[in-house]
Amino acid sequence: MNMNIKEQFQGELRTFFIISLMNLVFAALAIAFGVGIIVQQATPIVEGLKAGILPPLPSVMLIMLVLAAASFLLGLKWVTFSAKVFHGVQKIKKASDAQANHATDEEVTGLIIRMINHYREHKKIIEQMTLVCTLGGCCFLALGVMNSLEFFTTGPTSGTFTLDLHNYLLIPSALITLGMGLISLLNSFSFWKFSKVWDRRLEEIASSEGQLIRSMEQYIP
Amino acid sequence: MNGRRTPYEIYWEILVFCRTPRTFTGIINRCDLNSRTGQEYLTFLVNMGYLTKVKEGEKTTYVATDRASEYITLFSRLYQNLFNTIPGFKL
Repeated sequence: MNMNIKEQFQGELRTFFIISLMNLVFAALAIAFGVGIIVQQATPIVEGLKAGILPPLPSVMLIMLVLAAASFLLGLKWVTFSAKVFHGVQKIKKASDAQANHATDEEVTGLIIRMINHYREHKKIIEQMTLVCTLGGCCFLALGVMNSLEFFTTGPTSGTFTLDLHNYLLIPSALITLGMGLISLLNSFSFWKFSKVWDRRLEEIASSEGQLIRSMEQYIP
Repeated sequence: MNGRRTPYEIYWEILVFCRTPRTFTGIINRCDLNSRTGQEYLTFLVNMGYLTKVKEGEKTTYVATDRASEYITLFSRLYQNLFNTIPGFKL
């Protein structure tokens, strides 16, 4: 076998393994952040209700609650999808690592088939996960921006916002959520790219089945 | 191997595994097939001349013929070409 093919396959497998693992981690973080922000924003409301008063809800708080709830719900879906995809890739990578540098042609072909089947089986899930990842990334970005707002109001024809750059305590959390948003969007783009490559490979497999059929027909007894 | 394998991928798995004589049970366990579909695939491969059925007393084994090597080689080449002809996945 061409060594380049073996190395290319192992390189792609390694890359996809890392992306799947990162995806799983960020999905869990989306849930955690969602819950954390819901608790943080809802606490004054609950305390007010206990005292028999419904406190006024600034638009920033409402928006953050909605985004946090979306982040939590998306995170649950995200974790489910990510776990399925990651589990399969992990098994293939384990088998590939066990072969190390002494894999035969057939062992590598076997791994390629396993990867193809893993993609076929989880194609729909990967498409949905790309969408969920994108929405999750947007939620994180929006939360990152909202975290750094001191004041926000909108009217029918205009709006005003003030960034709170003097409150240094807000900067780390804003940067973290912005960073997570960007990485989530990058993950989403990676999954999209992965799908494009493997969709082409599936088309190539379908078109090359003709060669296999012709080779078998040569030997019909 | 799981997932929606094509018949050609299953033929390849069976033929590679049957390079040494294998029993029916061994083949369906290794290739993750049920008895009915396993029997259909083995019957097809025997009829095509890719497998030979060998009876040793009460024991029946299947072994790949020389013709099977051509199929295995062609199949491996086609699948490995997926990485030659299509740009790979890189970040």
